[in-house]
Amino acid sequence: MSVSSDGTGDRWLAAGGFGLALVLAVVLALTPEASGYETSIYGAYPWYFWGLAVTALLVGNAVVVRGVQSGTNDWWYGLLLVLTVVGLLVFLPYFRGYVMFGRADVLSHVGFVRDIQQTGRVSPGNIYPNFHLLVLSLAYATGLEPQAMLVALAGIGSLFSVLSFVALVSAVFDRRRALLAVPFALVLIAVQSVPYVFSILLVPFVLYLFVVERRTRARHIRAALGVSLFALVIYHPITVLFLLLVFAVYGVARALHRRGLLSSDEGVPGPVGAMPVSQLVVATFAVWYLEFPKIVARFAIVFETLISPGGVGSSAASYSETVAQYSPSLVDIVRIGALRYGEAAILLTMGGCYALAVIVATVRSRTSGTVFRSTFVGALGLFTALSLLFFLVDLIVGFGRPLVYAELFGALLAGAFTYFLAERTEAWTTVYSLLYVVVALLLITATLGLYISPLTVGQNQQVTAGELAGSEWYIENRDTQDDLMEFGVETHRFRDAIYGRETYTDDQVVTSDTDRIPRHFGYTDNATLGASYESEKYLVLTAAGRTFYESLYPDYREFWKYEQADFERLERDPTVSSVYDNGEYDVYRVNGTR
Amino acid sequence: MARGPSRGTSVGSALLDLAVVGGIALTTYAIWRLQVNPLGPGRVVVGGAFVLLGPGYALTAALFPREESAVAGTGGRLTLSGLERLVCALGLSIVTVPLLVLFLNYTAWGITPSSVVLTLLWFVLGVTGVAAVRRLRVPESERYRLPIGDAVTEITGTGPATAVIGALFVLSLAVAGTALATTDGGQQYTEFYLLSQDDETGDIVADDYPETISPAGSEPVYVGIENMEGRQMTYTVLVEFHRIDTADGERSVTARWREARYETQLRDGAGNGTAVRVSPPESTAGDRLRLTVLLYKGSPGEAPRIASAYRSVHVWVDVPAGGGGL
Repeated sequence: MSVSSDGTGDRWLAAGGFGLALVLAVVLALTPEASGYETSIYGAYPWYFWGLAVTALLVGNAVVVRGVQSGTNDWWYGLLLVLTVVGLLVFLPYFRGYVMFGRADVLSHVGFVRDIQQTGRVSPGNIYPNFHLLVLSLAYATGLEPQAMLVALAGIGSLFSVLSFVALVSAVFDRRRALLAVPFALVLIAVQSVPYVFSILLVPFVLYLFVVERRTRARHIRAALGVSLFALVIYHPITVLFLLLVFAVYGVARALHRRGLLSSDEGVPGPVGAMPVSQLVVATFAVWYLEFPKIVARFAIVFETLISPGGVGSSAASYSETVAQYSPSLVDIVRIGALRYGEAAILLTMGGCYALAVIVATVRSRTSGTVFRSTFVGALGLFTALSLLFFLVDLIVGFGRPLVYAELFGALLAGAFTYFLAERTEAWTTVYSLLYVVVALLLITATLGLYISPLTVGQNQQVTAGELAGSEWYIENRDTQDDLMEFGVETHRFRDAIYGRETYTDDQVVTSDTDRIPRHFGYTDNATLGASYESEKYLVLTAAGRTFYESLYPDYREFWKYEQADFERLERDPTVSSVYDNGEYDVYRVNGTR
Repeated sequence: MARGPSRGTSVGSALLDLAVVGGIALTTYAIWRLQVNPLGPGRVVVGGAFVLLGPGYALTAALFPREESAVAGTGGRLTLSGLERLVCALGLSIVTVPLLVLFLNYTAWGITPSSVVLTLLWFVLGVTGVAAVRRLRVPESERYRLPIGDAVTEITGTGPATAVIGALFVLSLAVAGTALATTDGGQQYTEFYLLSQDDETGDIVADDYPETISPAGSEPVYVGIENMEGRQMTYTVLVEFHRIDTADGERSVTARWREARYETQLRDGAGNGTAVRVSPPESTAGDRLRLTVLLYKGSPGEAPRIASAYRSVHVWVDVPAGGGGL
């Protein structure tokens, strides 16, 4: 693994990577846009597109890692290559021509933005308007529709998270450890444009400010940190609560270092200012969120659940129930597990190993490193434990929320772990080779798990123009007295996007229940669907619904609730009239005969 | 992760970056105000920079006018690298912009396009002004300058590999940007539907469809078409009665009667609703006949069937008395 002294080899390597990026861009340009709902974004491009993307990312990261040995600044080219490829990947919904991306929460957040557009005010139930206000500001400045701008925010935030991750590791670690951590900077990239995800993408930036502020005690940085935390409170409450936990861990680590229980490689920062940042955050949090009874109620429920925990409804219970009920094959379990949680497994393993090494070194009375390294180790442990708690106990929010933080701190420590291994074993070449293998695995899981798809037993989050038009037609023309049954669409979400989350009228209230649709439309027991109902109903089916089972569960046909034959039979069922069709979205009128 | 700044001497070069930020802000405002967009898709880039870079860049420049800042009270020094300045510019924009707009929520102006654009414009210009003053007050040797000279030297003076990287990077962005700028939303479709008249209110709704149609009388159904195909379309609509019987457990069409046929031409984005009066012949009589309305692009061909239709909708009706078929 020789590197030329002037780094020319690295630059040519980077040039090769940029060549791959150009091929990716050409493939994107030449591939026709989606003409309707597509079950998987991964199926929209040839297999080699994804292979080239992973390869280009690996090349970019290799250039960065080789910068450790070369000592040049050519690692910048690697970082630029990574950002370029990530940029292409996170904006795929635009290349596909999707009108929107996100079939549930995202649509409601479009509605929140529409509320502000229509009234000129933040609606009373909008508890985290910062995200919507940023979308609206961008929409006004660029001339794009807010829904198009909203989809872009996840991509913008992802790119920003990579940059701020690099700034953070540069602030915390020496050059070598920092560069070795850069390949793990993709830990947070996401394509879901919702306030929580976006707020998570800001965490490396806030941590960077926090580290620099504690190191330098510069008032400028403190001001920037204060503003950032203030804004983050209104971006999302859970993100700030978890950040407060990080600050608490820092406080404990600092106290341990100051009292000599942990030794230090550098001076331990003293307390800063008369008004600690954490207190400012808590005060802002209380002032803002206590205005919202729903939030208070949700926290009360979480508190009660913690007091008397139960496993029912938890992720653990849900997973074990699914496995027991459907007996999925081992291959499927491994594939889904690898793509959903492979990244977490790798990062937690690397971070965990390093944490163990730190603990062992501390026990043996060797140096414990810096306060920040201790903080990262402590935060990794805390959020891993919290993930486990949220996994076992139903606390309203899923275990994925603390798990993201555990992954982040695992990623922050991964570079230091690589350096530690290489330094201890003195087998730099072997360790670097292992690092490339690990990074390649990480990139494969991160790339193929980036978008929800049948690979991870999830539906493509594409929203089609036909679905929006169909939802609007249904809401405008229906008899509001008759119930709605739907499959493949959540009409109330589309209502939010079309009319606003809180500004829709009484005529636009939507209540629906998919569970009321009998399996196989009741044809296993009755000649007609209408025989299952006493009164008239609307039934909405979409292309996403019609392909749901065969695309997500192709090998589990015995568990399918509906099959193509059932959909075809609807057309000849004398109790079912078809009253709207746009190729994507169908509205049926069911005449109850029971 | 080192950076070696090159130093210019003129005030102009010292304030070049701030002038660019101000220029972006004024350009965005001008495009918004005049409703004329000479930049085409470039407006997205300029407008995006105005919101995501401008406020934070101005704030960072105002907070750190020096290459290296002395930290009051500690005797320490703080130097922000180029990467750190970029991160601060982006991050501070992302946290500042929503707070500024949220402030408007509590004012009489409210959150409108003009209040948002003007607030951001004045903020960027104001803070940029403060940054310029602060920077000019700093001794020239300590003044922060955007290291453009270094970047140019880096690109032009380090051999062919760097030039190839630069060319491929620009080309990749150009290809991807062109692809993005030419997307048209992808999906083309036609909405096709049936409505009926509410007996009580007289409104046209997706309810109260006719259930019985006597051969002696007639019932109106409203056939709607909305053309979203991205071009002008000619459609043919066929209205048929289908008798569907069960044989060997399978229900299939055993007889069909053509009731009406018409053509309509619609430009992109246009729609029409046609009240079709259905008067079934005596021969159609029977229970639960399917009144099927088929939509074809252009001509339906010699023997049109549901399978060859572009869209189809139907309701079920009883037709008293009679029998037979085509």
